[in-house]
Amino acid sequence: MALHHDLLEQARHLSTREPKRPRQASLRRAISAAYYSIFHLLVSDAATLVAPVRPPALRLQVRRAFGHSDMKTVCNGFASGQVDNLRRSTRQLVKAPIEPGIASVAACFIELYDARHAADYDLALSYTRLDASQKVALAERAFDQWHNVRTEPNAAVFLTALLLQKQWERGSA
Amino acid sequence: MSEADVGPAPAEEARIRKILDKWRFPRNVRGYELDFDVDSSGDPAVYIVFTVDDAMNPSDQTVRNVTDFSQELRNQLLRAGVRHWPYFRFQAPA
Repeated sequence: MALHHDLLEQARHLSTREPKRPRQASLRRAISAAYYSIFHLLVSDAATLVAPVRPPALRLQVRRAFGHSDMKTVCNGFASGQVDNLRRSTRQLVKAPIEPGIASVAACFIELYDARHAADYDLALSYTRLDASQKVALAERAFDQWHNVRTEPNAAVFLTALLLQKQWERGSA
Repeated sequence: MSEADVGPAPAEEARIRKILDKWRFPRNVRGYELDFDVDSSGDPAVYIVFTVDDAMNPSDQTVRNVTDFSQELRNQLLRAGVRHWPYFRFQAPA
């Protein structure tokens, strides 16, 4: 099974690991795994889109080039579903309207990105199981929504922008 | 980013509260608090913290409900032009 599916399954497991009194470590790791499941889902599809099958190491190398914060910036543009919110370099490639499924996946990425950061580093927070379960459910929905839109032309722009938008902007400066 | 950029302009907070106060939440949602801050990237954010009866051991229905309404609420807030990104957290009653 692909890494992103395994991570989602792990997130689900950790969010329900202790039936009565969940450990904070389990809930935090569930949230973190939920984020990484959607991160690797998008990175996997993007690498498949932009890199050929051979040599096999090339796709793996491409996957390492994605930056979390750059991806969040791109998602910010797509999440509202409004073409006007996209950076110019990306906007000129997108055909309006942005599919609601793409906007929703982008919004889920942003929510999980921040949740992962807090779960890993903010020790002042105390999590309920509902916190973790909602984040896992959000990732599950993002997987379903992505499945429905991943072959759309705008999805190809979205995936490519996740990797290259920052460079496109440099080029147009 | 200056503090003025992060804190809620009165109109922004009022717009968020107006949407939240009209929302029909499930019965086990007792209330909410707003925490205006920056997110982990330094962007303006509003953390909407819901108090939910069974937050420590939620039913599958509760998980579905909060996932549904948080997504719908986020979409509505974004459509309304809210510039603080809405994040959601769920706490148990004190």
